[in-house]
Amino acid sequence: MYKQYIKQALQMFRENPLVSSISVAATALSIAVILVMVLVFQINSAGYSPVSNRERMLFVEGTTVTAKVKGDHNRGNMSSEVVKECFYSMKKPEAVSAYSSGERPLSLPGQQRYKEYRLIYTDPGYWKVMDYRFVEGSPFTEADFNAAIPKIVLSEKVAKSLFGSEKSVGKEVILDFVSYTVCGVVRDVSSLEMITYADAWLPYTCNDELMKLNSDYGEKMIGSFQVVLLAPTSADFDAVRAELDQQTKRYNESKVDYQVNFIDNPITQLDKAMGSGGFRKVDWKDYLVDAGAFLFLLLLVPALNLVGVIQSSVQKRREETALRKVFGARNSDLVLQVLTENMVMTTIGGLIGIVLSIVLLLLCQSFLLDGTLVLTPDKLFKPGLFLAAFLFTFLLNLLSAGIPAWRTTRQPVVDALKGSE
Amino acid sequence: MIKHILKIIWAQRKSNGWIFAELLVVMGALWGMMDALWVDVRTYNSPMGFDITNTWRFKLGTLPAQAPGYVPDSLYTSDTTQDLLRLMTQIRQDPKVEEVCITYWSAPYSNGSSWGSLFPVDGDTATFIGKNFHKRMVSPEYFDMFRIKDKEGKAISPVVKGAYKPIVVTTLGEEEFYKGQSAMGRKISMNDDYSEPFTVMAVTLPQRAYDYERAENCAFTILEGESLEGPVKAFGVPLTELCVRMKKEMSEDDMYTFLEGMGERLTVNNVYVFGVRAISDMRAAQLNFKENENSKRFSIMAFLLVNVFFGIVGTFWLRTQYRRGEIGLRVALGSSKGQLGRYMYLEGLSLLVMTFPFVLLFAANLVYLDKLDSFRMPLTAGRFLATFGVSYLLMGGMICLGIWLPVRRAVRMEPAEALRYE
Repeated sequence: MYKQYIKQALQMFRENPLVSSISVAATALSIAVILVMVLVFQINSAGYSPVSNRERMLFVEGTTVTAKVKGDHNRGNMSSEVVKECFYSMKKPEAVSAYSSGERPLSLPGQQRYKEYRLIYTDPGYWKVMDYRFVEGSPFTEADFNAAIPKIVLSEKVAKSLFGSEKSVGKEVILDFVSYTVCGVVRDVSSLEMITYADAWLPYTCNDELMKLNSDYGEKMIGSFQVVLLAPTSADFDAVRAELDQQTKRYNESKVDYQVNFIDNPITQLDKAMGSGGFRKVDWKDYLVDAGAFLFLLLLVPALNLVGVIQSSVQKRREETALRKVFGARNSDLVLQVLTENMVMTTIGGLIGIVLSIVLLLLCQSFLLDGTLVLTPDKLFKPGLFLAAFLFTFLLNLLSAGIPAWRTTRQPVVDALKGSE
Repeated sequence: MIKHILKIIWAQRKSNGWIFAELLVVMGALWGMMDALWVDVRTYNSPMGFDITNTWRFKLGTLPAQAPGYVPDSLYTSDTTQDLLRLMTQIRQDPKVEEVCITYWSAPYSNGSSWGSLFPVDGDTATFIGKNFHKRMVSPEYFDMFRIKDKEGKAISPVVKGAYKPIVVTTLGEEEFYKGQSAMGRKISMNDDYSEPFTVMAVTLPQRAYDYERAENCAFTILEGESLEGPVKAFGVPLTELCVRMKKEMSEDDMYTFLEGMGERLTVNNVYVFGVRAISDMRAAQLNFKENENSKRFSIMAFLLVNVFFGIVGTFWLRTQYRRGEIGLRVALGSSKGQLGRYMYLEGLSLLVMTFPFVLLFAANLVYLDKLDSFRMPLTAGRFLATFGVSYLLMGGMICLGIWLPVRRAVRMEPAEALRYE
C-alpha cells in the first residue's frame, strides 16, 4: 500500500515539476534553518578536546560578597582564599580548578616585546578537568604550583612565533620581568570556548596580584577567580551543589562582617548553551518558550506556503478519493494516504535540508558561533541532528498536509463524484 | 478595476486565504525586525562626537623589585605624577607621535562608566535638583587628540589648558541646564551645596560612548597639575589610560617595532609601558556582539522573503493552470499580454495591501505594550513611514518576482489553445 503511495507521490512530482520542486525547496530551506539552530546548540553544549567532559562540568562564574548586617554587596569573582577554603577541600567532584585570565606580553630573554597574549593563571586541577593535547612536554605539577615555580605551558601557535621550529620545552620566556621555563606545548584551542582559550597557561601562585587578599573590603573574599568542577557523572550535580552549599556555610561562619555566595552557580554547560551566565541564569522553561516560539515561526511560514499547494493537488484528485470512499476506504486510510504522499516530498526536502544546514553553518559561522572552530564531521553529524531533522520534517508535514487531509474526509461523496466545487 | 480584482480574490478565497495568512505573518515579523534594524542603523550612523583614527592605548605598569632598572624607595626622589608626565613628554617627543593624553575611565571604548550628579549654580533650581552625567576625567590634550571641537568648531585644548577649574559640557547638558541660553562661563558644582564650582569653558557637540547607543549627558573635568595628582594617587598607575595618536596609520606589527625602538624612553623610574592596543581594535571587540545579532536578523529576514517568493510562485503557478480557460477567454476578447499580466500583479499586490490594517494593528499593540525601542529613537511618524515603506517595498518586490514566472508562462499561451480548456 505504501509503495503505491510513494509511486503516486512521484507521479505527482512529474506532473507538476515546478510546484513540486518549490515545495521541496521550501521544506529543505526551513528544515536547514532549524537544523542550523540545532547545530549551534549542539556545538555549544557538546564536548570535544579540550572540553571532552563538558557534560560533567559545573561552572562558578559569578561570586557575590554581601555584608552580613548592612546588606551592601559586591558582584565579581572570588579570592584565592575562597577557592582554597570552599572548593579545594570538596570531596564529591573528581577534580576542581580555579582560573583567572589576563593579557600580557611574553618576551624572550634580553628582548622586550609588546605583543599581548591571552594568559590563564590556574592550578594543577585544570589539567584534570580539561583534556588538552600536549604536542610537547607536560603540564606544570602540584609541586610546581605549591612552590610557585615559574613554569609555563604555551599553545602551539605562540611557541612557533617565539621559538620557530625549535623545541620549546626547557626554553625561557619572560613575563613581567620573571623568567618562566616552558614545560609543555598544547594544540591550539578555539576561541569558541572561553575558559580554555588562551595562548599560555601558568600557575596562579606565581602572580602576586592574584594571591593578594584584600582585607579593606569584603574580608579577603573578593578576587578574580572563577571555578570549574568536574563531577563523576551528571547525576552527581545535585550532590556537588549540596556539598558546595555546606562548604560555603561553614566558611561563612568563620567570617565576621561579610559572607560569600554564588547565587545560581554552579551552572552546567547546558545552562550556558541556553544563555546563562554567572549572574543570570536562564530558566529552561523561558528558553523553551523563546526558542519554541521562534521555531514555530520558522515552521509556520513554509507550512502556510505548502498548505495552499497541497490543498489544490488534493482538490484535483477529489474524484479519486470519492471513488475510494464509495468502495469502502475509511477516513483514516485517506488521511494516511495524503500524509504519506506528502511525507515523501518532505522527506526529500528534509534530506536536502540536512546537507544545506551544514553549508549554511559553514557560511554563517562567523556570526553564529562566538569564535572559529574547526568543524569536523564528528562535531556535526551526531544522532541529535538526524533526530531533529526527522522530528521537524514530520512536524512540518503535519502542519502543512494536516488540514488538506482532514478536508478530504469531509467532502460529501456525491458532490465529489460529480466533480463540483 | 479594483472591484473586479477584489471579486477575483474572493472567488479564490480558499487558496488566497493561505497565502494571505503567510503574508500577514511574514509582514508582521519583517516589520518588527525592520524597526529594530532601522533604529540600529540610524543610531550607528549618527556622529560619535570624536575620532579614533590612528589612536592607541598604551598599557602602563610599575616595575617589580626583581626587574632590571627598578628604583628602590631609598633612591626614589620623584613622585608618580611627575613620572607619568615625563613619560608623556618622552613619548610625545618622538617624531612619529602626534599627541599623548591621560584619562581615567574615559578613553573611547574603554568601557569606563563612572557617573555622578551635576548642580548648576545659577541654573533653574526650581525645576530640578541634580542631573546624572557620565564623568570623564581627561588631560587637556584629550580634545585635540580625539578631534573634539566646541560647537562653533574651535579647538578646546588651548582654552582649558591652565584655566582655573574648567569643565566642558555637551550641548545636551547645555540644553538641560540653561534651556536655550549659552552655558559658557556658567558655574557648575558636583556637590549639592553648590560648593567648589567648576566654570564651563567650552560646549561640545553630543558625545556617544558606544556606536549603538544614543548620545549621553557627559561632562569633562580636566586633569592638570593638582587635579591630576589626586586621581594618580587614588587609582594608581595600572588604571591610568595613556592614549597616543600617531601621525601615520600603523599596523599592529609596525607598532610593536616602534615600541621596541623606543627602548628606554618607555620607562621612567618605576613606571613603564608594557603593552599596546589599537583603540579601533577595542571598538571592534565591543561591536562584535551587536554585529552578530544584526547578521542573524538579516538572515531571518532573507529566509522569510525567500519563503514568500516560494509561496507566491507556487500559488500563482497553480492558479494560471486552473484559470487557463479564463485567461484564454480574456485573450480571445482582446486583452493584451500586458493587461493580462497586470491583473495577476494587481491581484498579488492587493493581497499584500490587505495585510496593512492588520499589521498596523500589530504595530499599535507593540507601541501600547512599549515593546518598541523608544529610548534610542522617538516613535515619530517618519520612523513608521520609513520602516513600513521599506518592508512593504521588499515584500512587494518579492511578490512581483514570484508572479513574474507564472505570468510569463500564461501570456505565452496561444488563445486558441487556452480556449480549449474553457
